Amino acid sequence: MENIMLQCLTGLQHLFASILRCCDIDLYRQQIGLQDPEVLARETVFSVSEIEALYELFKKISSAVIDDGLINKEEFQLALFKTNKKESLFADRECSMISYPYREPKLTAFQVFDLFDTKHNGVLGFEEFARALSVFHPNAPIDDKIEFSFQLYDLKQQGFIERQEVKQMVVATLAESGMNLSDDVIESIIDKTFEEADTKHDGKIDKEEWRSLVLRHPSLLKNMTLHYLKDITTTFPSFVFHSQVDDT
Amino acid sequence: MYKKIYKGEFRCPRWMSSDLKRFLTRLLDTNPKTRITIDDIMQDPWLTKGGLQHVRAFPRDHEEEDISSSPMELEPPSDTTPALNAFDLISFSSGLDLSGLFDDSYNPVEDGELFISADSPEKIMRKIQDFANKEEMRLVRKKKEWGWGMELQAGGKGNLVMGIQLNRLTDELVVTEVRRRGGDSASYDDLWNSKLRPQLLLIDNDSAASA
Repeated sequence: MENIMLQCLTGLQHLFASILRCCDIDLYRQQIGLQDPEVLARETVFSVSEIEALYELFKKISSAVIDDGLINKEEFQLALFKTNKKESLFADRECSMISYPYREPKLTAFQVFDLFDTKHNGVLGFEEFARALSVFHPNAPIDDKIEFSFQLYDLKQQGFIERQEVKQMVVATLAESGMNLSDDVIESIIDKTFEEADTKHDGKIDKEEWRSLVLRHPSLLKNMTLHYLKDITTTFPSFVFHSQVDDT
Repeated sequence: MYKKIYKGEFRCPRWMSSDLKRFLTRLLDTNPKTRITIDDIMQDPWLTKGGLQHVRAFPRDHEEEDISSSPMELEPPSDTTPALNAFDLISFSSGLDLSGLFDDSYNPVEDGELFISADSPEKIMRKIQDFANKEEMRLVRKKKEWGWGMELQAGGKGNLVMGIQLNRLTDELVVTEVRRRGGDSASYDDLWNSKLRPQLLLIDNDSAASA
């Protein structure tokens, strides 16, 4: 009689232990995973379904190299350029008539990553991912786009864009495409730009001056809108399986 | 709601005719094998009842409008077109193009290129027009804030669409951006790298040397 009871108890013990383990795994996943889509939906321009679809995209990107529920720089690079080799960050093209000079890696992609990484820990969690992408939605307020782009170009994060920073980015962009412009030409282009933008004539472009420049040249914000975000629920329909939304 | 879409559950309001309900059921079939095909759509009784005119669908870009679909007028906009500034140049950087996050087949490095030439926009556009004629592609002007925008469309070559944007950079220089907007990478690569690019860059080398 006692043996049987003991066996039952041990059996129950094992059962409870495995249930707890299962629950733990779920909770663990939840911590890194999608906790409260409603909160994110409230604080971004996305709907709950869009957040869930965005999460599917996030899972895909973040598991490419290390499956840890976070996007590191390599995974980000991979998602953007479909390659994680530093050497092949430029296209290898053979043409018998014209030879191509060496191309620089995409420094601007890392600028973008750093801006997404608001916790400054070198990786992107889903929250950082979603909040940053919210700015790129076609319906996001233009002020957010202006703010984001300003911080993108303010390389040293000093609250203003310096001439040197502009030159650095222009040179990097030209080098990307293997284009060669003489220093004189580059300087004159930057001169003209500052003439128009730097209305206070202090050699720097502050937030206000940036804002008026962009409002006069809206095409400067063209990179700040990703139309794909409008169709995100159709691009990643598998979110339906994990959806927390009730059918009404 | 998304769960219903996935299962193909829907209800039709009462005012819909039975023909229409039947048509919708065929369209919203969740099984792609039994779903209605484009050819069948054109023949569906609900559509053909009043007499169906031939419908042509062209892919439309979000921000742009077609100006003319006839052979391009080579007149550029007047010379008051402002030139690109430094930030415009920077915004061409492929590192700032996040489309790759969403489009698996898109690679900003291989699917687009930027080059600078000392040629006049008219000369470049003429070369492109000649190329379009030779390859039997359609060249469509696009309305842009400034500069000259156009698209090369080749229905035959896998629906390839190549977007070309010309902008003045300085008094002597013009920036050209070429980007794949539709169709597959292989046809784009073939058309651009092996055929159009060498022609456009030839002009570049000629005049850049003297600039």
